[in-house]
Amino acid sequence: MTLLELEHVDVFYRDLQATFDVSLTVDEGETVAIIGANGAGKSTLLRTMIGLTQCRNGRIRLAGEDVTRLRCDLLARRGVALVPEGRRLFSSLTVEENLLLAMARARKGPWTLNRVYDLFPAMKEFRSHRASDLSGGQQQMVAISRALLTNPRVLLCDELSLGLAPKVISEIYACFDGIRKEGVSIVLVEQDTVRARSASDRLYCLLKGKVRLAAKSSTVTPEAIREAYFGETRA
Amino acid sequence: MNGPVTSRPVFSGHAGLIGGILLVGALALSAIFLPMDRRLPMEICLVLAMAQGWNLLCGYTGLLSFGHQAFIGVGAYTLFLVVNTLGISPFLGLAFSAVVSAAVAVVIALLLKGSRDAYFSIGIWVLADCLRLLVGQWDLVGSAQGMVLNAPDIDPATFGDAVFWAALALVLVTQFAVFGLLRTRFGLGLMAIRDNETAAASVGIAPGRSRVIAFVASAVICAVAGAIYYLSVLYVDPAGAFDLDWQIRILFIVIVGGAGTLEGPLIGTAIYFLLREFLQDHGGLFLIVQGAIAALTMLFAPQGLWGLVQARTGWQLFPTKWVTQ
Amino acid sequence: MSFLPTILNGLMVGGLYGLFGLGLAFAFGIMRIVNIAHGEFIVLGAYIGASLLSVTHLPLPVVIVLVAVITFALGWALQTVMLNRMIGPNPVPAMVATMGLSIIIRNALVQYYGADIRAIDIGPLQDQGVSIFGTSIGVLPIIIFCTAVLLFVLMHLLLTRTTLGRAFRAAADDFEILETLGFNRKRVYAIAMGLAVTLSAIAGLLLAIRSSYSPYSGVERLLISFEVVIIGGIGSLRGSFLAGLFVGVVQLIGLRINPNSGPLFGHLAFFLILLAKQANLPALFLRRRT
Repeated sequence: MTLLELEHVDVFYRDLQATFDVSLTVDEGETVAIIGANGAGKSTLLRTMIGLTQCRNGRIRLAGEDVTRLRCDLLARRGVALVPEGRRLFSSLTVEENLLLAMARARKGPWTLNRVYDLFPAMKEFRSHRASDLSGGQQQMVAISRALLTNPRVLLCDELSLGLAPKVISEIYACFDGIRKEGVSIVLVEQDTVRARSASDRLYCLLKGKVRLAAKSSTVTPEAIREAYFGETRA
Repeated sequence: MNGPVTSRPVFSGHAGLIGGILLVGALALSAIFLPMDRRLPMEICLVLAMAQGWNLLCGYTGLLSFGHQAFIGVGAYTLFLVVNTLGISPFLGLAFSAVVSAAVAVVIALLLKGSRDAYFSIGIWVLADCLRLLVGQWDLVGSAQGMVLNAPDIDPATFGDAVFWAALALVLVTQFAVFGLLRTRFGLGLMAIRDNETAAASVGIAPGRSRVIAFVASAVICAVAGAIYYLSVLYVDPAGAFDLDWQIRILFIVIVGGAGTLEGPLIGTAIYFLLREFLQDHGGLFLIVQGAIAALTMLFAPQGLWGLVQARTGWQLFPTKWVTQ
Repeated sequence: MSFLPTILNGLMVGGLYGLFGLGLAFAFGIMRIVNIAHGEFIVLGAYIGASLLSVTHLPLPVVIVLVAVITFALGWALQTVMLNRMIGPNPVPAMVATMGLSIIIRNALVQYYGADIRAIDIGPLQDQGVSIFGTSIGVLPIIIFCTAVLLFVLMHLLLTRTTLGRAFRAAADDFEILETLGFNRKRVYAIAMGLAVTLSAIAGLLLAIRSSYSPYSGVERLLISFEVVIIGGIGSLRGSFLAGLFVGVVQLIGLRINPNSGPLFGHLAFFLILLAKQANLPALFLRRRT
């Protein structure tokens, strides 16, 4: 069952066009990765999916409903959640306050404070710390938990591994099974193509705002990815 | 591409400039030759000059000041002090107003160094209020009662004309000086700072210094205009010279006419005086309408009337946009 | 100790000044909007309260609640109708528009009520005194001061214990992410502005009982609010309160020394502190916990 659909989406960032005629789908329970170099348009696409940026042309559908012009907070209430690039926790609030805020307008669902503390047991130690006092990895746990607490149908993750140590990144990705078990769809924007491939069911590769490759993660070849990523063909 | 690209400033719209000069010339001539009391044309010239000066700061540098009444007061009081205590001719006293106000502006710029946006806007307002209160306590200048100009060698018959000529000279000099300034590298730098300070700094424009120069220029213009005004009524008091109403008048004119354009204050001044004439029997209502128009302009046409016209037609009567050749 | 009554009065007035500053800082901290008509809303609180008192003869606490509700609605309307359209990186449009609004309110008050200076008289309570440490202190100033403190405490509770308060603080940090959690930004802003206006208006009404006011008092109230914000900082309730007390005491001591000086002493003290802080200017704008 298709949950999220983008059809021929053009997004502009000020006067520059960031995406050109992008179409992609995410099914229920699926994990889809979007990979590509810096500036390929990946983050802009996520912003459009949650309504922070409006696309100029194209359609976006959530569970069949046309949500192209829907305001961000309404989209959030319909079940789209964002783990933003750079975490972007509310720095003057504590960890627990960040989480409580997410629960205030949440949909009904399985995610509760106890569930996210089960998912990231380490969070219990720093639950009353200010968000700005945390390390990158700790912030990432909180950012993911905050998004999950809204009980989303689709979770958008923007560059989870940015600025984090490999061990920390592995721990973060290890929790994905727990998230997937609840049937949450995940859209994963990643620069690390190996991780993206191993964590997803399907992937899209963007180059300069266009979809260059759409493939199943288990069968796609590294060559195909390289070609789509860099836009070159090997002789 | 052979050799470096030389960007000679060539201004689009030479025809526009001729139009601008003609317009200003026509207005000046009508003011000079129409048989009417000199007071109103004099006031129009002064208010227009103040608006152009303030616009140099707000429209071109991006600094919104709510305190330029400070300079009007400083200019007026300097003139009166110098004339009353030193016996200098009033029109020579204007030079003192210019110098003293420039010094005050430099001090204020130092006090408000690093202040941006609201901190600057209200900060200078507080300073203006301080000046008002301090002058109101100063016995030498008559405290709250103010003082009368003591210049016995003024000829009553020609005085009205004399102040008018001074006002006309000021506004013509201001209009063309600001115009000329904006056409220089310095002027281009100002506009660059307004649009994107970091980018401007990265190409070697000194934002701080440029702002101070623009600030001092705007202060001097307002000070001399204020001095001429109070000279014409031969009396000055702190409540009048440092009144916020001066600032509100200037703000209205620049915003409604179009901030950041040279043509805007011309239009704004015209609208202001027309409105005042139209509502002259309803003083309170006039002020309310002024406030309403300013607020509505900001809501629906923040670039002002001339900004709207310019967006549609691209006209420039005083061309300040560069074209490289 | 002839300065004691002055200082005590200064503290009372200062509590109200703290609320003035809080109102201005609240709107600025959350929405980056400076409401130039802030002073006029303060004065409106006095005029509306005075009218209610004289027309309906309701007891003061009831009138305070009514003024709170009415001015909350006004602030909410201001944000919804005008200021929500002007949110953006450039602060100039909102400042100019609210300057225009302040002109409208000020002159509308002149038209409707006249330009004369007034004060609110609430009867016998005005002069009642209580003896503490051998000095007679008015009952009314104590009540006013306690009301100010109470309002600060309530704001603290709102900001730390309720979802709305957390939303306000979060909006100040990152309004985009707050939206992604399902909060309607414009509605949060409207409530915030309503709160900012109502706090200031209540304080304005209370000040009018002890001090005089006219349609032109708004400017002075705005400048005081600004000084309190700069001295006390934007993100701190405690800062606003203490800064308000400071400005209040300085102001009244100054008036005691020179009754014609108006707000001059407050202005001068403000500039001294500003100069002293200029070396540390960036620290002023860092958010601090309430």
